[in-house]
Amino acid sequence: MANPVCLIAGAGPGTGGECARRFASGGYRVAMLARNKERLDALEAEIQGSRGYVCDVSDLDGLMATAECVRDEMGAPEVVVHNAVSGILEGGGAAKFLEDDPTRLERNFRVNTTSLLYLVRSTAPAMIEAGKGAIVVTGNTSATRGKPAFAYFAPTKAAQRILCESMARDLGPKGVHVAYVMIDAAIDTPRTRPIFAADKPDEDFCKPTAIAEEIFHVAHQDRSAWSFLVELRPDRETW
Amino acid sequence: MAPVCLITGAGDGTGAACARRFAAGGYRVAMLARTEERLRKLEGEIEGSSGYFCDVSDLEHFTATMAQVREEMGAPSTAIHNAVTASFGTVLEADPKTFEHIFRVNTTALMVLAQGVAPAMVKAGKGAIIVTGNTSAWRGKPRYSMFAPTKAAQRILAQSMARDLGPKGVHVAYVTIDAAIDTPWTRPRLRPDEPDDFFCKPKDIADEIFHIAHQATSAWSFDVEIRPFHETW
Repeated sequence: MANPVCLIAGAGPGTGGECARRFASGGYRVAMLARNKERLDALEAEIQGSRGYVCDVSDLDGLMATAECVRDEMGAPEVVVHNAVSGILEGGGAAKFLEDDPTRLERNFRVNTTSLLYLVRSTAPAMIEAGKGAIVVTGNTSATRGKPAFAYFAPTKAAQRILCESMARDLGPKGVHVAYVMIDAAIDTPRTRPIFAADKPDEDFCKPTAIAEEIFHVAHQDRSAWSFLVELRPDRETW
Repeated sequence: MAPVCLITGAGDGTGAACARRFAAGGYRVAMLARTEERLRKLEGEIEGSSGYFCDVSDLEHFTATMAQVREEMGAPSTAIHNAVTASFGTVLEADPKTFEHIFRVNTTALMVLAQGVAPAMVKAGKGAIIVTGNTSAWRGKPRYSMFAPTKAAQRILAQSMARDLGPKGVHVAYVTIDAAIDTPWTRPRLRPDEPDDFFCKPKDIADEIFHIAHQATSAWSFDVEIRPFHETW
């Protein structure tokens, strides 16, 4: 039988790319969804058995078509990692929420929450039929608290977490494991590093390789002991 | 001049009860709702109140309506976001097309409300924005997949606003109502045969909201839970 398929939405240079590497080394054929074709090409060349699909998850029709394409070309995913995210960087700067465009909130909601709903509607039926599968969503502490500067972002992550909870309770008894991984730290990526703290030591950041390792673990927990909420932070993080 | 209280979702239940309570407490009440007939009836009943036909999911019209309230009645010192919409079903059963509309009414409209009313409150150094929510803001049950995420988002948005506006004198609070509310439309759907005390009464909720809007600045609540005495929780 062919190796199982893992679909990753938001396969960028950070957590998504590392998940692709980790699941590939764990015996999966990886379907990578991202907006950037160049980056997908590079990952495809590097990771054996992987395939890149250019996809902007905010285009819901496009997302559904891409998910179908993955099913046709690679087979139905047994694991889905939703890592696409919008607003964490620019939304983090929205300190003046009274003056900003309120529809920005809806754009972030579309990528962070609605796209998850659609992706699950597309992939969960095959998992239910097989009686097994895992859907892992990457989140952060914005899912549980609203700081002023995150007024355009945190609400959408809170919505994402509660949507996951609703799905987990529904799909769990059908054999499909839904988990929400809350990363309480800046993640060390080429994009975040200069924004958060260029001069901080490496140890202040959550490493994408370490996060990917945890996601792989969560996706393979024994069904008698599943995690829903998983928190991750570096040892020295203040919380 | 009596202060102004703006209420979105001035329907048959909590919204109308709030209108009555704030009017009794000396406010001139601006009531926003989608049912013209109900607004006219409330206007007739509540002295000093004005009804404004408004669908808060039409963000531009909502913004324009708030400008009209400011012009005709003055800047509100209290605003209550009680407009709500929902659809039900598990992720696989529900109509996914309803999801973003629900988010718009419950959450984006709250952002638009804050943008409409908060600047004058900040300038005055006082004011209150109160949001009515429920336990869906805290947990996602399977059949609430289209609704609970939007209420969780609403609560976290309110929290962001509270932390920003609090030090500027504006009190933002989130009232989680853990019960069925006794309204003409919920009662037949939920439990027609239950005794009265199964339900949370709009009048009692309105009393609590009025209380929260008038807490001393040294002891403000953000999260407020309300449930009837014999609710299982």
